[in-house]
Amino acid sequence: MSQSQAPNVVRHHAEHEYAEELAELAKADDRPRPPSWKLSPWAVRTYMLGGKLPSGFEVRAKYIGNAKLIEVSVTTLATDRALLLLGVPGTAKSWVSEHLAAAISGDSTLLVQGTAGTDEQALRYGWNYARLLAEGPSPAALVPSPMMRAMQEGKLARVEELTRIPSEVQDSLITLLSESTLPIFELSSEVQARRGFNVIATANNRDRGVNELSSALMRRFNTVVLPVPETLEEEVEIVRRRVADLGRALALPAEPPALEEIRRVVTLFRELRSGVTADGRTKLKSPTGSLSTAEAISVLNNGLAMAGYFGDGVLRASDLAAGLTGAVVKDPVQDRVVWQEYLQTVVKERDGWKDLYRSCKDVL
Amino acid sequence: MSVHVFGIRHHGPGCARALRAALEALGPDLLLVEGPPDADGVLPLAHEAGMRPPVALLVYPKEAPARAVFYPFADFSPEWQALQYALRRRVPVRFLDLALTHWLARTPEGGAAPDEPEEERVDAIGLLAEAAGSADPELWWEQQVERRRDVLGLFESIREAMTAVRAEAPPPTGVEALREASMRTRIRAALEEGFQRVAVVCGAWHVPALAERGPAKADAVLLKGLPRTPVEATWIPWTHSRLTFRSGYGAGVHAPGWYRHLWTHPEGAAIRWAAEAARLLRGEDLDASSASVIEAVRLAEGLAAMRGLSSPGLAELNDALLSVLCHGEPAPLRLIRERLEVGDVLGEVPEGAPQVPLQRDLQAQAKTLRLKASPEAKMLDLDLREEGGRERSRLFHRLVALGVHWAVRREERGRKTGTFHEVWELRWRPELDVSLIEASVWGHTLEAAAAARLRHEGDGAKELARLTELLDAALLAELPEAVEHLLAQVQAQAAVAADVQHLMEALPPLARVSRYGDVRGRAPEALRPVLDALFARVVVGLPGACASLDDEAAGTRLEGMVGAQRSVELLERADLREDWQAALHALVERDGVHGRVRGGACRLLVEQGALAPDALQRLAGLALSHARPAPESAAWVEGLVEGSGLVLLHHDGLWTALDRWLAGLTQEAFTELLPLVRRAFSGFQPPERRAMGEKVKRLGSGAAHTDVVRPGELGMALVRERADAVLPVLARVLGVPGPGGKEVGA
Repeated sequence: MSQSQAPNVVRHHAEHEYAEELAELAKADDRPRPPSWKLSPWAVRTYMLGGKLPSGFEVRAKYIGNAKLIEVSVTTLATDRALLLLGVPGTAKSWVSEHLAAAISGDSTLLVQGTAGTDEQALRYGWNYARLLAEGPSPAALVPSPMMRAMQEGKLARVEELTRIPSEVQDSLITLLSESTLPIFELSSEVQARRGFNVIATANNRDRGVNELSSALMRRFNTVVLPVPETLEEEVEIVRRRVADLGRALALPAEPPALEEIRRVVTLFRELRSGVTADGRTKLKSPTGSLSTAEAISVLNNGLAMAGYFGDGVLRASDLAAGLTGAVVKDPVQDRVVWQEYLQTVVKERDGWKDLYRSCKDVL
Repeated sequence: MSVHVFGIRHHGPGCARALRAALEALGPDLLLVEGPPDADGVLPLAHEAGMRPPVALLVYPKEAPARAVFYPFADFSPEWQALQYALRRRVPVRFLDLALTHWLARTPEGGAAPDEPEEERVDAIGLLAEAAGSADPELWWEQQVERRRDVLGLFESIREAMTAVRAEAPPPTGVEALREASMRTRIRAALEEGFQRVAVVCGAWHVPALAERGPAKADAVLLKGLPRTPVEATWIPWTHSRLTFRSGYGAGVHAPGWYRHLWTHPEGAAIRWAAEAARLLRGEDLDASSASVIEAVRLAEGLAAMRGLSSPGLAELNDALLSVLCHGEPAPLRLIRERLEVGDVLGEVPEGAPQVPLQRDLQAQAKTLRLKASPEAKMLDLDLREEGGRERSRLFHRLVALGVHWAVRREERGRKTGTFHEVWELRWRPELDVSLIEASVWGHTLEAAAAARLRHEGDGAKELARLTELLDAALLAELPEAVEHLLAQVQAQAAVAADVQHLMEALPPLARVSRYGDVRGRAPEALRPVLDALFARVVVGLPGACASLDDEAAGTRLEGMVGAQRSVELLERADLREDWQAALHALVERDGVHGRVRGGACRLLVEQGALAPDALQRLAGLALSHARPAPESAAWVEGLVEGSGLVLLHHDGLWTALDRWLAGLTQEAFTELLPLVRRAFSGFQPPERRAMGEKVKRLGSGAAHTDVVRPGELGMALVRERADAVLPVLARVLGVPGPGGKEVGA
């Protein structure tokens, strides 16, 4: 934990970056808290959705969109059920999960990253083999998984990309969730979860078929589907805030981008994603990538960095062009056609987008 | 003497419960309910055994049943509960509102109908909700009033709140003012009659206006000399889905199923609801265990606590069901919305409810044919060869003729149903009762009414095509009297009709009837002479009718010709076919006929196999010769290939002529004609276009200049012996003499 508090890390954990907000919320929070929770569910809701505290302290919104989804998520955790966040890539699943863990347990680091190579050890425990050989099975030779630590400490464990984990490994989660107990056969003992333990899993519902969740496991989760932002304004707002936050964090030497520039990128992403122009008149082809809000954020950040280091410090179309092209053209053949068509039929014709058209043409 | 005004929200279950308790406590000796006084006569029916909500009071002007007004009632409607209370206790009960006899007389057709009185009104609940800091007025009202368990002082608070709102709102005008004046007058009259404890049940909005009645005189002035129109009132069955619309009482109930649920299960509503949702999902083969139900209820209760509510409402339950039972998928939730939240139910009214004879006749016939009125759509596949199927079909056709669309004819896609099958979609909607009442001006039985209506329409029909349509309808509905009448009309009209187009349009329905009539065992003898006469006129008039046409007229004419050809094909009569082909032959050669019509006539002939390939090639050569103006040639091509490219694919001579013509166009002419040609080709199916593309490829190699494509040109050398080996099998498949004689291989 000490290393993450170092001032010059690339990215702080949520509980450190927003430590002040969490402290203020805890101070103002007089509602009942579930066992081991650092905040009451209402305070967690405020932390996620933003709001003003009685003291006048402003809590920034972590999630912009349907408040209902956050309410369901928080209540799910409060009623001791595991939470499964579904969504296409870039819909803030991990973001929401991290912030929920930070607000509820004050610790978002108990993380299991799901991959095809994730084995049972990552969900249960491993062994320090030198000790195991030297001393035989003993608690000291045991290497606890984040999941086990969360159980011992009564905290939230996070599982990212649950559907990437092989099915047989997924199954070991079932007992864990229903019994709240982790048996250690080698020591004839077990770890019983302390109150406050719970799991937040995230999964991508675009490639759900990779290792589809069994219905037994599915039944142990309450599912919340995080959608792509509903309106242009909502998405612009999300991108604006995140770009500003990240720009500050990375100490970029450029000015934060004008709202106009953000709107342009977001409009472009939304149009390509939905396959129809914003006015609903022209049908478009959609590229293979998901073109999520997160990618829009990174395109803008990339542009900011370009403007800061190689440009005149102000974000211009030429700074965005390379990032945009990279974000859209994921498949060098198919997407290239899509992108060219879009440039020719939409970008070229649109008032005030000429600069973008020329810059993107240059990159292609 | 006291008057107690209970302000309610129409269709609010909480209001209903509170009202019932309040009435029990008060024990009034007269009950006045907001509603049309014109329906006082049918009020006692509400308590009869056969009455099962949802039902609606239907009040309509005698002359114009279409302008009917509905007052729907569900179990959970406060008005319904008030009526039930009064009828059970034998307390006199009356309706209290501006009589519809005045109201309907005031509003001319097209003006504001009485079922839209809301538009001029201030949205009181919206204002209150806003004042309370809630964004969703519906939700606010539900939480504040409908789900309140402790109902003490509810009506007092409603009255206070509404008084506050109305103090700010402008005084009512127009119908609104008349209504309230009328309500006050009726209350005064009741008091004069000597009733001691009068209970008034009305929309919350009216409470302040009825509680402070003011001087009687002003109201009397307002109500003086109102026009009248005779009206009728009755009860009709209603459906839950119709309750979701804004009509009648003006309360669009978003979730009638949920309200009904709240009404029937005030305690533990959430648990029952989740359990019912799970049962529903299980019925659809979706996973929904009891454990999930428990979790869903826990989540809903948690959400309610988080949102500061005393118990979970529909929104909380929906969120919880979506998350736990539906695993975040919106599709199963839609099912819950449809089946539970709306939960379509069709009410019933007792036998004794006033009905027009037509309604009775329909009920009797539906009963014999075992057809049940249901709000859910149901498909019926009728086999006309069977007695039952035919009788049902006849009933449906008669209803359609009367404009009562209980059953709607459906073409079943992907399957040829044959001429002895009819597919109908059956779905009862409450408005159909109105259609029936409207149709009752035509007669007292379905048969008589349908015949009368068709005859009437026939007398008014100006066009031959419309007449034949009616004739078709009359035949299907088995109305011999109407058939005879319409047939006479057709004959009379055809004799004077100068327009060949109309004559051609009249052909298809007649041909259909003549051809398929006998499936139903009733091809009228009188039809054939009419048809023959009609056809003769078409053949005679056609060449003249195709001269000097503009582009648009040519298109219409060609359409008519296609229809006529289909009729000829349908009738399968050699004499007609010969006449028809002769007429077409005359057209294709004739100068002055529009290019598109000439081309189209060629196609029609080719389709009938009445134009030899070399004849077609010659015609193509003529039509596409450079002596003709290029647009005319293009129009010819369009007419020829419209709809299907097969003609082009199978006639190489035509293909060559077309190629020569296209290649010979000047650049300007080509640019000019491109859209025309493109339009002609645009209707083709993708496989046809592909085949054409391939043909064009071969054209380059010079292969298509011959009439027969040789196998060798497909890139394969023909090995004679191996090809011959296939022939015996092929001959057997085709059922032709085998290759013993060499003629097959030759």
